[in-house]
Amino acid sequence: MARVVILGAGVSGHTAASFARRWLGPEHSVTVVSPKPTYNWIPSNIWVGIGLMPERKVVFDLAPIYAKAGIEFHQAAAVSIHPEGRAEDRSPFVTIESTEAATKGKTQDLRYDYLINATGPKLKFEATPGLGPHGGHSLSVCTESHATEAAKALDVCTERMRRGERQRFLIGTGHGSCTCQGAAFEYAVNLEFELRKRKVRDKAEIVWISNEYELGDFGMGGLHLKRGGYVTPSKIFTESLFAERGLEWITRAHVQEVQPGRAFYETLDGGQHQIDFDFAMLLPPFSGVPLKAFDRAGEDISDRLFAKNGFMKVDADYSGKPFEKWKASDWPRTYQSPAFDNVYAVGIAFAPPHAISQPRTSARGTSISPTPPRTGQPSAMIGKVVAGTIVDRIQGKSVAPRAASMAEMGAACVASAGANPFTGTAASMVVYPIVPDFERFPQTGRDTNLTYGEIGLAGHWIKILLHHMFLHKAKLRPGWQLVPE
Amino acid sequence: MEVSTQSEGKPPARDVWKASQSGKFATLPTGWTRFCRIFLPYQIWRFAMINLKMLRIIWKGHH
Repeated sequence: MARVVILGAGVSGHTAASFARRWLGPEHSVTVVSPKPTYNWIPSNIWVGIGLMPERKVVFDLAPIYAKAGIEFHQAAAVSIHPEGRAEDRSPFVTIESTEAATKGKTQDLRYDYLINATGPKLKFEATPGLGPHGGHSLSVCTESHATEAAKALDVCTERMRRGERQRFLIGTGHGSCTCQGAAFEYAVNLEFELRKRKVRDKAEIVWISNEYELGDFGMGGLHLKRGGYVTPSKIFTESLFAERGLEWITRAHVQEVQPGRAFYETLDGGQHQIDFDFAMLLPPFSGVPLKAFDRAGEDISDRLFAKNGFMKVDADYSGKPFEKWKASDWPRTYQSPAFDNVYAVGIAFAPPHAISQPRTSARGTSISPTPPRTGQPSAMIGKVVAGTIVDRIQGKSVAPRAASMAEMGAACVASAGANPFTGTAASMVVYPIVPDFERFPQTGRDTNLTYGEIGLAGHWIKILLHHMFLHKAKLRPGWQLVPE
Repeated sequence: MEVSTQSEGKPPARDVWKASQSGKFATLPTGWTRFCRIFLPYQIWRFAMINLKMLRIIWKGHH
């Protein structure tokens, strides 16, 4: 009997657990550890944050789904990994701490034969003083409860605008090292559409602020699309979308502090600025979750498993070569830890070998550049591939580990730009590969025959379709395995 | 900071002059482009085409 333990029940962890359970016989166990009792389909949090969808439509309880599927579930946070076990018992294990109300704080050791770290990000609001909804002065849509709070604040602003007051909405990233610009982008354009629907757009000023060098970077160094006989950068595409909707933008910005109604930020040229707001939705930077690793003797070996930012090191090139020298082949393929061959990291939990967007530092020495995204479709694909590799190993198949390099896979992304079945739109984007490969595609790093984008109502329909399809899949309803990642 | 203004419930003003005033010099869609974005027969066609493009990418990622 083999024990597969998965830390995290986000997109990648949940996908890995679902496929591992499906492919493994009942003699093997699959266990999921997650600090939250629910699964959250995060892409639809945008609609919750606008007030178009209640929280309950984007979350569901994991326990009954896992009970039905034969997956053991622990509502707990992973505290430490012990890949060498103890002196008296060399079975590797993880220590978890319960987050359930009845047993809160109680620790337990879970033995594993294979471990998948799918812990996702720690939302590092504390990196910017005053950032975030927990004691700070800005909002977020990173979790379903954050999004609900944002929707309530939006209602308050709407009432003020109906009374004739002007309101400024500041949307974007709350730190110079943020990723996930795409989510903030979706929120900004959906907000604009919703304010028009509420007939208060003329009272609203929407300002985008981000750490991107140019609009449309999205942490991927931007992308190039074939349009009208030209290969056009996503900067043009995104600026057009913003200008058409009357959104102002501030780029190359590191938010230094958020005070009630005022944000202070630094720009790449070293300039110090401030902007007043009535509503701020600013995403936090991410780091790895605080997870330690110890050897058999109890010595801390976290630096062997984790990079400095807390993400887990896998089969990538972490030699720290200059940005200009990196290659697509530096990116991981199997997501196996180089330190322990039965440990893997998937989704946001793995440490990217380098930035995709050109790293830049301000005149004052502040790093202001996006970090690489690892969410959504690639997360799910990586989770499935790692589950497959582990199943192959358990079943004793002498085959090469399965591979899913982000430099060899594409991603489809649909960014909602207004939710209405007849007048809504969304930006549908397809990018191949996700990580540019300048050896295969010297001009732009990507295949311009496959990389593609357009705005239209069809994209909104696809977004709705994806919402229902992926929730169907996540709930492990009949035929779930046929829904592609 | 300048921002486009509009009458209640209508889309914001869209003209090249205003976009260029903020120093952004953004490309703006023509009326035809905006019409096509929500023209049902065309969008049904685009729905099929975009799905095919996405499936192609997904297939490439799995093989």
